[in-house]
Amino acid sequence: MVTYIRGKGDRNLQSLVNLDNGEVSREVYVNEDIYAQELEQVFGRAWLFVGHESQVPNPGDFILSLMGEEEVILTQDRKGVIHVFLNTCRHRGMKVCRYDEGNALVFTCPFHAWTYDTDGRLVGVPHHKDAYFEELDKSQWGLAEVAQMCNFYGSIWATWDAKAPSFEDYLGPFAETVRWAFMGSDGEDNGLELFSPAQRWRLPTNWKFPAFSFAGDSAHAAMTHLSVNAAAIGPQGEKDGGGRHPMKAPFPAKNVYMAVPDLGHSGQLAIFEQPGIAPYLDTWLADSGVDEYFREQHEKRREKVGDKYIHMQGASPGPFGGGQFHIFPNVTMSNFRILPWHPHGVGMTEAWRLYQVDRNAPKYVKDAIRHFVMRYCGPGGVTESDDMENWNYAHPASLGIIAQKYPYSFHLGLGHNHTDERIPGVTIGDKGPSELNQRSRLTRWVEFMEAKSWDEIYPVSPTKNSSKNGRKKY
Amino acid sequence: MVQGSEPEDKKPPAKVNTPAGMFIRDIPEGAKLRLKGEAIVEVIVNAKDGGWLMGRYLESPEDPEMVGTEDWVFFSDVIEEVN
Repeated sequence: MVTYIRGKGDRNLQSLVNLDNGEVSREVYVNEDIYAQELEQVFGRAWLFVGHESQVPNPGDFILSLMGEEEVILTQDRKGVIHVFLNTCRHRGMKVCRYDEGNALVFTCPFHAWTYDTDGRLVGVPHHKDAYFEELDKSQWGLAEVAQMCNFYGSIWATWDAKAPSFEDYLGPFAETVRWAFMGSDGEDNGLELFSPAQRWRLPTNWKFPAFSFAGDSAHAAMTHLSVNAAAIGPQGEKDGGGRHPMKAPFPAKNVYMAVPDLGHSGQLAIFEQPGIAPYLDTWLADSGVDEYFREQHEKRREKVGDKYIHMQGASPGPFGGGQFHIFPNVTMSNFRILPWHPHGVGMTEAWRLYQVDRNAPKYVKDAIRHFVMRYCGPGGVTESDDMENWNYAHPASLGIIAQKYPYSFHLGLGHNHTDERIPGVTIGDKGPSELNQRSRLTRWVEFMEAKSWDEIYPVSPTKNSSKNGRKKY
Repeated sequence: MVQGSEPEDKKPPAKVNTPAGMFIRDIPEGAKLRLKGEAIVEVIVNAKDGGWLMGRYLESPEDPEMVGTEDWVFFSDVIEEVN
């Protein structure tokens, strides 16, 4: 039974997440009761990223993924339909699949051999005739399947809550941004595949540390990434100072913080002052032929975009074109990497890294990208290693009785945001570094934690959402 | 007496719940198997999990309606391979 913190006198969630004053109690990140409540009310309710259809291209293909702490099977059944099932036998709970990926005709539980078709139906029960006397209705004991699943331009998302809005409604203004993250570099929808297998590792910190700061905390970069910024890990080597990011052509677009506090999504994305997209700028200087490939693809994309304004993308759309964003609650994305942050206990996060690459790109292009992302990202990537250093020490330094008396500061840029008629429904922070995006995620987090059902948090209504009543600023 | 230490001549006859000499994962598609209840099935697919085979019923004295249908067969229901 989950204990609802909101009922505990002056320790209710509103007192712990006081964003009007820019303060958030450390308890939100370290309290076991709050964590248990998150699993039920955030991860049991929200749309979550599960995987990509390219990971299960053939009938019978499967991968294991996570929704909250719980392991799920993403599989394509023999009729070509994709499913997401809880990885647990309905008989005694044993995992019915113990391989990270593969191809199966059926999922057979190794405990008592109940066996399930790839469409989730229980198709075999030992002794069904001679000991169950055919009285067990197999049709009622199939694998537990998510309440809703969505294949969004190749990316697979799911929710356990049948009352959740459609995935596109859940995304709101960020739907087009997510769509672009799964385009090929030539601008074709669903033109990608993911490198396999995913990188997976665990960080000794609460999941919200990375999830609520990534794509919303540019203020950390100057100090945290001081060394990697000088290490010339970008594909251009030491040219132009040797930055860690690929080089991009200038274009009249402004990178800003963008947040939809009503939905919890936010990012560091661009407002464009000119239609179209930037020309291609060579950056893969050490990898023969890669720039030629991307230049050709990029021109195809420029033709497709034409004279449209493409707000809420990176300033130079295309592979590594800048811009990253976060879909509430726990996945950060850009057009070259997907960063799910899975909770694994209040003080542990299981991070996954998946990297997009043009499905039809030649091998030397895929190799160049793989080498770059491994230098940059994941458990061995030098940029993300910098980040982990902070999160992994911030968590234990916040556990103490004395430490918990001191709230975190979320003041950066508070109240200095605005809206723009070009992107309705989006709050913008463009006056330097801001914690707008982090505040917007926490705002939505409180709403999920307080609400008894989706009816209270969608459609979004100021009169329903008590956490925002009277709030004038983010 | 410790279980399993019975003299050979006192042991009960082995129940054939695993076909003698048959390794269920190696049974090829097309093989015909006799099941408990004297049903005969032709193996359509071997799940290769050591437990289950998909079979088409060719004979089914106890339940004639099964003839022509396909269903999953658990290895302990297999008596022997028939030619």
